[in-house]
Formats: sequence, C-alpha cells, structure tokens
Amino acid sequence: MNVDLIFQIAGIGIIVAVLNQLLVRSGREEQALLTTIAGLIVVLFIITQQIGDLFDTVKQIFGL
Amino acid sequence: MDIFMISAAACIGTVFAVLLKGTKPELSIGICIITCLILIFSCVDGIKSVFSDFAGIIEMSGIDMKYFNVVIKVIGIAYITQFAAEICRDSGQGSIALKTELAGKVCVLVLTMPIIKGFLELVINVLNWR
Repeated sequence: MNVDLIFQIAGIGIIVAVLNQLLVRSGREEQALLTTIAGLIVVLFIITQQIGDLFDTVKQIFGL
Repeated sequence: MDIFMISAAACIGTVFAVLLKGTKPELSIGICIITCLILIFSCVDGIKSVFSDFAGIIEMSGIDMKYFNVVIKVIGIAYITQFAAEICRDSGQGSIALKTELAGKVCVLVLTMPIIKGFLELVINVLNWR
C-alpha cells in the first residue's frame, strides 16, 4: 500500500481520457466507449484488491 | 506514520480527482477510493497500538472485557460505514450514502442489543424489587 497506486490509477485515467477524446474526434465513438469501459474495469480490479486488503485488516484490528 | 507523507498523498489525490472529474467522472471515483484507502492504511498501526493500550487499561480496571470488545466493534463498523457513505456522497449519490449509513446503524443496534437488554432487565428488576 504505497503512494504509487494513486499515480498508477491517475495515469490510467489520463490515458483513457486522452484516448477517448482522440477516438471521439476521429469519429469512432463505439471504440471510445469501449476504451472507457476497459479503463474502468482495470481500475476496478486494482481497487477491489485493495479494498479486500482493507477489510481484512479492519476485521483483524476490530475483531469483527 | 509520517504526517507529511499523508498530507502530501491527500493533496496529490485531490488534485488528480479534480483533474479527472471534468472529463471522466467515473475514474475520479477510483482515485477517491484509492487515496482514502492509502490514508486509512497509514493509520492502521497507530490505531492498533492505541487499542491494545486501552485494552490493557480496561483489564487493569476490572471492567468486563466483553463490553470493551463491543465498543471496539462498534467503532470499526462506524469507520467502514463512513468510508463508503462519504465516497458515495462525493460522487453525488446522496441516497445511496444515506442507505449505507442506515445499514451501519442497524448493524450497530443488532450488535449492542444484548447489552441494552441486560441493562434494562437489571433496571426493571430493581424497580420490581419493591
């Protein structure tokens, strides 16, 4: 759990936004939508892993 | 637990979240979640040591440990519920946030019900003794 995760996800977000704009401007709107969804899925994967870690730690500390 | 690193991470996360909110609001939620997770994880060691110190003091004072455990669990439920509800509220979903908080309150109530029942039975017994 280090600060690099913020940069990773921000990087993915910026790349997806740029690609989205490029594809929309060149007229391929379906591919733009697909890149957005792909970026979202990658980000969700990373997040669910970390949330799993968090909930395990919280269960450990608070004895839930 | 370095407060400088924590503040810096919070500021960087906020900047990225605002940056992405204009173009891709869905990814800005991701930045929010990850920044909150990192900040929570930085506090985990401090919380652990504080709680174990408190447990030692309570044990010394002679209060039954099960009450302290219930208090700790309630605090944990409150933190997790607040985490989820604030992320929902940041993304503009106030109704989802409210329902999450409702679920948290019900959880806490279910957890503390035996203690409340025991206390009320004690009071009723005392009142009926006359």
